[in-house]
Amino acid sequence: MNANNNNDDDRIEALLKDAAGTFTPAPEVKAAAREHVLAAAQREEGKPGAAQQRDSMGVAASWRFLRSPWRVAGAASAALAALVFLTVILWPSPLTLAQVREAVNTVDWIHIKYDNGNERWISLTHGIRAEITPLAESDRYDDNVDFIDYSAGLIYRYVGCGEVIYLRDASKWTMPTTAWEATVGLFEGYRQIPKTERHGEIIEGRKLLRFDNYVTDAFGERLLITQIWADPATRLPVKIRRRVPTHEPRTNGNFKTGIYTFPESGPESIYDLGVRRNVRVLDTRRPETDVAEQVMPLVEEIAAAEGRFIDHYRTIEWKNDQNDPIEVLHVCGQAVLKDSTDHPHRDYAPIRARLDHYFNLSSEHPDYHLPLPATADEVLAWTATQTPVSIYLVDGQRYYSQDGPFPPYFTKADPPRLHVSRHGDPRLLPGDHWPNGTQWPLAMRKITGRAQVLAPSSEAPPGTIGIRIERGDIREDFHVDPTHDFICIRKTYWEKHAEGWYRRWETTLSGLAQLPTGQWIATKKLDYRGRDPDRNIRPSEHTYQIDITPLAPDEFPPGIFDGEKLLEEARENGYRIETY
Amino acid sequence: MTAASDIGELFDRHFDDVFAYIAFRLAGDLHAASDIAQEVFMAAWRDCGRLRTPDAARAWLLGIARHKVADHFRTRPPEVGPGRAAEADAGSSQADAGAHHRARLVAAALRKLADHQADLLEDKYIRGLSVRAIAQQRDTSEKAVESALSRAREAFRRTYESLTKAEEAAR
Repeated sequence: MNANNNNDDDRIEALLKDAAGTFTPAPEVKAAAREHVLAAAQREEGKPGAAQQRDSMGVAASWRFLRSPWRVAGAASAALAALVFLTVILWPSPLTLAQVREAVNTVDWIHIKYDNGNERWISLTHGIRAEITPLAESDRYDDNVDFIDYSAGLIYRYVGCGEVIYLRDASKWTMPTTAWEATVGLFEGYRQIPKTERHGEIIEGRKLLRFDNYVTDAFGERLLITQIWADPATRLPVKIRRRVPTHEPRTNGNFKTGIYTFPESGPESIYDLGVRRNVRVLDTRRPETDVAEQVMPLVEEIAAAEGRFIDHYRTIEWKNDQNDPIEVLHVCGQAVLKDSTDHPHRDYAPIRARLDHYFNLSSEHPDYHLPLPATADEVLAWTATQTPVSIYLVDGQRYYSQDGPFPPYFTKADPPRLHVSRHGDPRLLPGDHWPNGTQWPLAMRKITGRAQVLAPSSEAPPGTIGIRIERGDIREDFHVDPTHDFICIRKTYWEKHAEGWYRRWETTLSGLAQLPTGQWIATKKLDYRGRDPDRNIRPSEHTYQIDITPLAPDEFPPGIFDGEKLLEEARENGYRIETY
Repeated sequence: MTAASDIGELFDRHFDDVFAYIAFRLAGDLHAASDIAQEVFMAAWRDCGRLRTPDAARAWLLGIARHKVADHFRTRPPEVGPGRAAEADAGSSQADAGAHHRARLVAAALRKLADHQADLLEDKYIRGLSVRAIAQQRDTSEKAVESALSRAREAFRRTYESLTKAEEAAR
């Protein structure tokens, strides 16, 4: 038996090794690649400050580990750095963007105040990054505050609406290599090297240089992504205006502007950023990973069940006891599992998917009112008479998100807009909107911390197996039903308070039904949201109806995944079109 | 010798392995594999501070390659169409074409596994990490890694066999 197992293992090992070595580069491909890499490395090495920067981060030193003659590289780099330094000092204007980058990398502290209210401090010398993020559209809660201490490997996150500091392990977080990367970091995210134009500009009597950076957008058009105003006297940036990424909220249109200053000191702790010292700290640092033997086979069953779920369907989610938003999701195709991260998730290429939101208002607005309770068919018939207030669409090529048009009574001032990009929009990822994320949450995450299978308990939903994952002061319980495709019937998130474990939130699924294709689904979801008892805010409960209908590829509404059509209609209606 | 020429040496030693790994993960898309392999070496050039020991260079580069492939998949679906396969197979012998085909099946089977299982198999059999090194990376015991490897191999075997059978049935 053992011999058979060993043979099998050897076969798998051989299969994998052979497969990973099957494709060999043609000599001309290798030669061209070598030439390209060396030329690019030499270009970077020759850039002002590049060698100095590598040395200052201890990078050149590490090359010594490769083999002894490479020590020469360190000396060469240092000599080059000295030469570059002299060149920069003696070089008359005009200022180049490379020199601005170089200057940013030499300062001790950088402070940026954005026009959307965010504030950021960074010091690579001290290994600190801090950020204050005001909660959008809310004066009720404090701002969120992050304080990352790279040297100590800790992150403190103050969550304003919860009035709690989460202490997390950041020992595996990589400190940005350069201050430029940490504060500007604009080019890497665009997957293409921008083209830069330089202009002179006088602002408040100061003669500045403005660097405009352009990339090619989803339509192949030139798109301005950043503008950097720099002072030739200091070579440091004064102001940077950058296009807001797709997934970030927009406060002042498509751009946000940061005013840069370079103070001599910065915050030493999260309390220096306005957080009160008496706020509760929840330590969520992972204990040593300790996964009980029974856990992983269960997780694998859960992942397998999730993998068997249908990939062509329509989901409707609505409430029968309250006028509230209604979601209609169409999914056509299988999502691709992304590579490993702590929180793996699925990319949606090459699937096509569309999520439409509708508002069901009270009977005071009869044109926008759906009488409740309603069946799925009634909901669907009603949505056919309505215009979605938002649409998220991936058509296999591009990603579209449309906000509006909003009903006339709606107070939101923004005009309708359609955003088109080549990159992903996290709102359309298979998460809470998707049956997969709701029914099999453990299939979409890594198991870290302390994990165990719970002993049977009368408090558990009948017929379920409980899996508990603990990370310091945080605990999560997942009760899965092995007789119904391992659906997670109840998921509970606990926090440890002085008085014991506090149930912060919980999702309970019920109304299990079997699809004609054999898979089990939940048709009802109860979301419980606790609130901090110290603040005397009532917990809330919301019950959602869920309808999932498998669809054949030809059963989807015609044109539902047609991004070009959506774009054309938006243009005809005069919506604001934005691209990335 | 300049630092730029050092990357040349690293390139000469490991480009074939890095290219082969990426092409395998991209199901034979040689064009994209070449582009990504270049990105890997440029990233290595910029990030060489993380390399602590010369013996680890191959595993380190393959680790970077894995992330680059993940980035690639984030914006583009894995291409398994006949176009790319034909490109990879162009001019190949029948034996090579068979090996290419088998590699694509292995890549497809890995993609169907849970992330943690695919990662584990890659770390052990493709990056060549020891069980001890894997355990250290994951903050767990060697025994736990052995056990997880055993389950990952079994999951891979099942998936690979089902793909093979499905393909035979389709012929």
